[in-house]
Amino acid sequence: MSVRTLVVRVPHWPLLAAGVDLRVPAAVVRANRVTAATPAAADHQVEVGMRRRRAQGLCPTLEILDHDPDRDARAFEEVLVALEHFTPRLEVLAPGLCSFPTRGPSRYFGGDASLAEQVRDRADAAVAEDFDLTGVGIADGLFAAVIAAGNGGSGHEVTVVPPGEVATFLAPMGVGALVGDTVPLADPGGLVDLLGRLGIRTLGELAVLPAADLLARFGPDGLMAHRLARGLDDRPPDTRPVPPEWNVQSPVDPPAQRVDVVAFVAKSLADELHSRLSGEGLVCTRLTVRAETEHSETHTRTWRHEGSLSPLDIADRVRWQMDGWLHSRQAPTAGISLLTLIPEEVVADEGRQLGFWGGQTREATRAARALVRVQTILGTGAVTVPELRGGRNPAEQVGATALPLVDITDPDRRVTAPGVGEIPWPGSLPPPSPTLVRDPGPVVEVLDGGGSPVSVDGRGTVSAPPAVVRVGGAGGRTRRIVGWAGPWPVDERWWDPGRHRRRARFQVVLDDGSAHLITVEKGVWRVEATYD
Amino acid sequence: MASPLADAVDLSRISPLTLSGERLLPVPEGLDRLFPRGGIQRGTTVAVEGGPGVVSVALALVVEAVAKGSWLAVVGFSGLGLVAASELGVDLTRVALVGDPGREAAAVLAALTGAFDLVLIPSSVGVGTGDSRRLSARMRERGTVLVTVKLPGRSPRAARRRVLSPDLTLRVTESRWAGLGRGWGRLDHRRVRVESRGRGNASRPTRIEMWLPGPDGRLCPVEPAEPEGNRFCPVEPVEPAESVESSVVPERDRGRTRLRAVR
Repeated sequence: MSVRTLVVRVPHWPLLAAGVDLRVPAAVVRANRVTAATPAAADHQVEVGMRRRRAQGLCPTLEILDHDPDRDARAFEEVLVALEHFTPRLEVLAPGLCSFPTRGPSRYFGGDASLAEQVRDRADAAVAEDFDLTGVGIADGLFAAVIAAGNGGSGHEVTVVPPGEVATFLAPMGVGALVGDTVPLADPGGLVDLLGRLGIRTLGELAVLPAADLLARFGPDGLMAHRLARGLDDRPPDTRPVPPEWNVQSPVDPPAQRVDVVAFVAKSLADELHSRLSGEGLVCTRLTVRAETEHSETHTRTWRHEGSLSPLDIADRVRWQMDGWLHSRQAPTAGISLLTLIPEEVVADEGRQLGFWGGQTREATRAARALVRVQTILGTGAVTVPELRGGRNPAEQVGATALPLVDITDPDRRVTAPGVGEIPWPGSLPPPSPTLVRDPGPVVEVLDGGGSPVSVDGRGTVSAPPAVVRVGGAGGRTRRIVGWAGPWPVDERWWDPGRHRRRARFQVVLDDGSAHLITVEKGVWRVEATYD
Repeated sequence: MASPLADAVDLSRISPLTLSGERLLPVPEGLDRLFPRGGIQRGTTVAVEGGPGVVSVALALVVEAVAKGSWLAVVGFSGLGLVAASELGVDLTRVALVGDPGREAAAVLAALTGAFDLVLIPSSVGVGTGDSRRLSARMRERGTVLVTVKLPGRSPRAARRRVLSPDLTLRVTESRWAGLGRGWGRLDHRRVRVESRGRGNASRPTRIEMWLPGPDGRLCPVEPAEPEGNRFCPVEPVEPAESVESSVVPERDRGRTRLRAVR
């Protein structure tokens, strides 16, 4: 018998966390794709999964927000505090989605329906605004409860699935329900797609198939999907408690007031926990994080994750929890001095097979993690990935995209902007390109054989062959020019007085063997790039 | 608690044994002769210094490894010509750029160590002495290669902060561009001479010559077996007395530059 579970789902959570009014068209964008949109934006046909440019095209007034899981989790803490009124056994599935077992609270608050109503009203009050959105579902098992909570589509519904009727409730649902963060399938998308092509379109159709055949055809994923479709838990209940000596804890010394210090301790604790569990062939699916301050205030939160919690996931969750606590109204009065990680539920590690061709590679995942860590040290924006763009000048031809905007583990990621390399850029310099680009470059003087400055007139004629480059004014360092070519004039954006640039470019080789790209604009010479 | 076996034996000591000599990152043909083992030994530091051409040589070092799936982090290297890197064959999908780390250089490099096979920094990014010792130990353990480049005309910001002492130093001793005349032509290809000197079995200096880039835009080795008497030089040269020593001038496909044999 599955555990009877209540799930609270706040739709559009990333937008609410960012403090957006849902009547305004707004969308959260991650790696250039829309991940959440307000109902107002949906009215303009903005959909999840759409490219940002397309969404902005459909709705020019669309407000774009960055994807920020920290912000989402921090803001959710307020809702959790409100729900602690009902039970201390809250489990956070994701920001905007939490659950608790109803046994106990249900009886105390007057039955399932009454409990669900009260939970919804309280959550709505905590989410604030004049919107009633929160969806609440009660069913046997987490999977059915999550579906029940989101069943209304627009939210603000209470769905109570009577005990023992989960299979009936799930039967008309499409197999697409198996795709989601709360479903413990390794590749739900692939499985759902395949089931659809085989003509199995609802969970009811899946449930009537023999389990043995599904296992034979689809492996463990198939069996898991079958169990879920029949309204069972994803795995048989495990009565064996997790031994308390698997808890890991570490003092924070000196006591920390800042989230990043605690997160740093959490990372090493998480590594310790992870290596201890993996030594036993186990992974953690439910984890309680407890923090204690010098004044003995404690803060406890349980996090649930389908699949398994990696050390990085654990550290993230500790950071979210601490962020929420330290910035909440019940903020502690002293620094955090003790951090404990308690594995609540462990399952056998079935491992994960990485794809042979394409797919996420281990190297890319490792690199992405390291870059996120660097980002926490240096700040957002310090880590970028290159993008080749069109342009006439070396400085324009390459752009940097901030790490949060791209998914570097995506094997199909392109570093070339669309169209680049297909159409020529008139006026761009042929390869080889310079290896050092300065924008703007240092000012130099270019002199002819007689020592007077070289100039380029409006028709692109050089006053005299350049002979010497001088740095630092009269008496500065000089270098003889042993080879040169140019001028190559470029007249850009003449239609826009603010951005109009008119320049002449030269390639020069100096007597020390170095080669440079120098430009003259309004009589000022600059070394724009070096062919080092 | 951990099993009794784990208590008795320090598990980290019985990890699979690989000799460091077998852990190599590949380098393009031609550059391999600079390395005693034919590739960059993992966990080492390679410094590139000398005259013009250092940046290109550093990029050439990483081309092959990145093509084979290694990731490259470029730290504190504003103005690196990524278009040029791409033209030399560096796959930019496996390149990440990190801004100037300033005082956090040691922390940043430590975070990247292990996750990235290659880290490219200008020599102005320095770490303290104690940090540098810890960092090099971590690099040896995780197999990350640090390539430091001494940029032209830029001196290290602070003398106290320094980069790791290199295991192998590559010195660019000569760089000659071809294709540019006095008022005509354009930079087209270049020949560089690189010397390597290092510790251990790299202590014997080696010298190679490369086209960087070659006339086809890629890098290629200058054919080693060349009769001495056969010398070419570009027509343009400013100092006709100085000629480029080479026998083989690769086929000119663009025909912009004329070449003349000097006997």
